[in-house]
Amino acid sequence: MNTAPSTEPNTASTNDTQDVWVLRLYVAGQTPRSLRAVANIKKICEEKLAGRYQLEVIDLYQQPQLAQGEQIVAVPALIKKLPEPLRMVIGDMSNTERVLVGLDLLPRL
Amino acid sequence: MAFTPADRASQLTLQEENVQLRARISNLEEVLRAIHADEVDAMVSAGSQGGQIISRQNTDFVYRLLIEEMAQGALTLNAQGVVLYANRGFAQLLGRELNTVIGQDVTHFFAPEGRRYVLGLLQSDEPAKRSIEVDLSGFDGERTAVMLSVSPMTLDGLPDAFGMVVTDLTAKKRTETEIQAREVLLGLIEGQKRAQEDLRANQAALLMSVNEKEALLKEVHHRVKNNLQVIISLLRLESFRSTDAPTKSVLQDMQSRVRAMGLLHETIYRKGTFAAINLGSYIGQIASESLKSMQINSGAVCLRLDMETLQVGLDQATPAGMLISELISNSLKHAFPEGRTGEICISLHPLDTTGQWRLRVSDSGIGLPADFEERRKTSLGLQLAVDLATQMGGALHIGTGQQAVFTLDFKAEVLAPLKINLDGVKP
Repeated sequence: MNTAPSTEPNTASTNDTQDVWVLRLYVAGQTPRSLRAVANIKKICEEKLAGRYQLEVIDLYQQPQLAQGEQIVAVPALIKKLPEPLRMVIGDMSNTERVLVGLDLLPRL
Repeated sequence: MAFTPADRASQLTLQEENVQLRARISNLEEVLRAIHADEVDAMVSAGSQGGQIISRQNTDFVYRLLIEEMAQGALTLNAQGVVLYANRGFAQLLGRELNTVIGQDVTHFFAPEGRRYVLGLLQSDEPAKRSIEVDLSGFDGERTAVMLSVSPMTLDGLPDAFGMVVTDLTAKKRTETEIQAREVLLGLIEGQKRAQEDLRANQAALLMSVNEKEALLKEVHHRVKNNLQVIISLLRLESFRSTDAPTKSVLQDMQSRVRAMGLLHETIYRKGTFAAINLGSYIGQIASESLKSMQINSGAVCLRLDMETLQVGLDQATPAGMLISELISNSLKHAFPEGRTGEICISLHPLDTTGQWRLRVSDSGIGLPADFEERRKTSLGLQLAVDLATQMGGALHIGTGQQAVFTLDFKAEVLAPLKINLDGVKP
């Protein structure tokens, strides 16, 4: 999978782990939730995972074939593929705390 | 274990609830199955402000399709320039997969020197700066010239978003280049046309000038001939006036010679060919003119001509004409005494293919007298004939025998074709 320069893994990380977060966000075209979800997850990643993440955004309207193999029933849906375990967060990613829990960046309560 | 009626009732309730829950799960599973099996056209979400129908082909479908299918790149960006949405057209311009474009910083897709202009475009408040030309940098580094148009949008929860349209300028630039090339070509063709027109005008002017010169040349020859005619008239008057026979004869000889020269000029201005003259027909004319003017009894002596065509210059035609005049004059004076009749033969033939020709004059008269060699030294006419033969580049042979035969072998001057040099001609 191609990666844009901003998402190259950065070994000089400030975090205590050298893991790389591989994230996949499924959206549906230009619906408001989809646009907000992209903006929000990008902001969260840049703030919490700068240089240590790969984000792939898939527009299911334009690339429906890419949904195959994933149990997507509602969009926007964020899937954390790595690090294990696989987790899913649904919604526009505006609840930062819930997203961070889903990314295993905050402990579950 | 014994159950109280209350326990029994509770157990029954639980069993009923179990059945109901199984049914609900079954229904939900069916919904999920149907959604996954692509058997659902719409989903209903229970929002806080009442239910909302989410359909796959709702009223926005046409607009969505328009954006998705258009050849131009269409993007939605947030205030920081993050790509929130991109259509396939933009991904194709970049030669990238669409899922590597959405979520990225838009400036990464432009050539480095153009990135600040793209950011400037997002920060500009002036309508004029809402559109720029810049190079896209594709996945393999290949550049594509594009036009960016940006318009601000306010979206729910995204106050400072932008819509951006990216238009490929490659075809336009190629067309512009082709148009420029075509214009250059048209300019060249136009120049060529003008040059041809100039050339044609020059040629017309030149032709006019040549025609003018030709007319003037004819006029000169005409005047020379007229002046010679005047001299002939004067000589004729003098010969009529004279009572002395030898003087009369000299004056008549002079008339013949001048007539030969005049005839040459007349031939030239009548034919209009200045460089060359048909020697055979010219000699024939001189012969018949001489015969006409000198013969006392008309028809006593006739003329037989056998001429092949030979074009010569004036340098050879002039002496040849005078030579014939002398020889005919000589024949008429001496070959046919006391009313004898006969003929004078003149022939012109090539001797070979190298340009050697033979001019032959003979008569059927009494032949040359025995003292011919003596008389030759004192006769102006015969001395003149020998000189004229020399001028023509040949030698005169005089056959002494039964008949008088004069033979001249000469080399015909090859005439260079007339060349007109147009190089130095100015319009």
